[in-house]
Amino acid sequence: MSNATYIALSLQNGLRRKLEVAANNIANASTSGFKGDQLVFHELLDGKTEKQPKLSYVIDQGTATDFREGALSATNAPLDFAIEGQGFFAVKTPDGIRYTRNSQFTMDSRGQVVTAAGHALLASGSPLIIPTGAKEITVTPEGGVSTDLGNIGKIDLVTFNDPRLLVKEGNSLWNPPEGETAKPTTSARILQGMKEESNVNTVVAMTDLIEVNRAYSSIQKLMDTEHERLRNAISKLGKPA
Amino acid sequence: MMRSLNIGAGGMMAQQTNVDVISNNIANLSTTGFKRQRAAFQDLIYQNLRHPGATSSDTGTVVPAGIQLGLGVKTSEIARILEQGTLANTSRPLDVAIEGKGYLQITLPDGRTAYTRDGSLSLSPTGEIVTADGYSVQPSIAVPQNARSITIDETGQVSVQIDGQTAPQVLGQFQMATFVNDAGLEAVGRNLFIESAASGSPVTGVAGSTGFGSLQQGFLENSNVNVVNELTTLITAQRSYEMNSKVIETSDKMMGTVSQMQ
Repeated sequence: MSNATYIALSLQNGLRRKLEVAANNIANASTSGFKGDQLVFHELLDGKTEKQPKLSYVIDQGTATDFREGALSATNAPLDFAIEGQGFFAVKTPDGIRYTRNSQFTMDSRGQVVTAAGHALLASGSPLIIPTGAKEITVTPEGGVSTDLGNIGKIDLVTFNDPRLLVKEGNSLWNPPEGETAKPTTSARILQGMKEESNVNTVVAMTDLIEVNRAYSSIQKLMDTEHERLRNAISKLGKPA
Repeated sequence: MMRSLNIGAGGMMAQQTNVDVISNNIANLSTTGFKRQRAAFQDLIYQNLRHPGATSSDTGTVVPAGIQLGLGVKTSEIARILEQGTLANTSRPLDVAIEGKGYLQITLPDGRTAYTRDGSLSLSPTGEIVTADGYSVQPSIAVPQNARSITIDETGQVSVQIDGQTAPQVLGQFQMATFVNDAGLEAVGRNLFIESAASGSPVTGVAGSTGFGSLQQGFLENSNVNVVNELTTLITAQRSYEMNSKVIETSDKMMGTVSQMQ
């Protein structure tokens, strides 16, 4: 009966999700290595019989992560490693190995290089440990780590066949689904003392907000009009002669 | 309730923390031995409304991306950047700067040991070498009253020239401490740090030996805050704050639209 209302509702639902995605992007505009998401909309056609016109609803098909690189900024912190090119760091978490592009690492009390959440950065599959008494830490673009006391390892840089399949887990971590295995890459480079900024384009995110807001109010107009039409129809057609 | 309201609020709180950290850095621009801090952020967990890789048809096609809704941002750490500060010449004999790794060890009034890179030392009424707060430097070194000039060499050895004597008299040597992870030391104010579970135990030794920085008499280590850097971060933080508030505004308007439905 009120198909127009349902179609409008499908868009309103989608717009709310779109706002949430934009909100998350904006909130993470200062998160190192963060990759922004976009909601992908999709037309859903519905029409059972020949005589009925096909109805076109909108559904949100998926969120697509924009894997483009964020801007690099110099921090001069020796344990800031930015990745130039497609690649991820492997870190050891209690739930298994996860992947990150967050550039900001620190050391723990055992000398392990860890993320802010305390997950150890992996070099050749095992945690990277800075020996006691080391003064200077140098990382080559290929990932080789050395201190004034000698070489200590090579940071693992990996890629995936299809990074779009990676599941975001929060804490700047990605988890590959089953069947998607990390493989070493040589095309990415590590830049020491640099930080990869979030790749969220705040201008686009702001226009998203405006667009969502406007679309939401205009679809609301349509719903109000439809509502009015129905009321008129009921009051006029339903009047006893 | 809309998630975007909370996400926006979380974003504003994170940027507030960012501004707090920056303001503390700028306030300590002239604090001897101060190491700047920076706030780092991480994304919060994601709600998987449609899992990437989920089956999308009977023939086995899979969803390439799924719907993952992020729930905002959190401050993951406020890390200390231990870059060496520049050394300023003061020509004051009891000013020592540490060039390289290490901390001077200070005895707090309650007997615990604190660590500092602020080497603006003075003499107590009894002639002991103390910090600006009057806390003694370890090991305790007392300068005799008839001493003419004090020399602190690169290894932290303190010697004085005494009236009537030709050879300088050695009074003692400062003990330095290093940590596996000095960024994990707990700051307690007054330019002092104390050991924490994250820093590891102190390793003591003399200045200039392997793994320890050397001491420079007549110099002080400036704060390593870079104002240009701080101000640009401040601008970014302020704008991000503003944009997060726009998210809240948009959510509010959308909810307003809904509440006006008849």
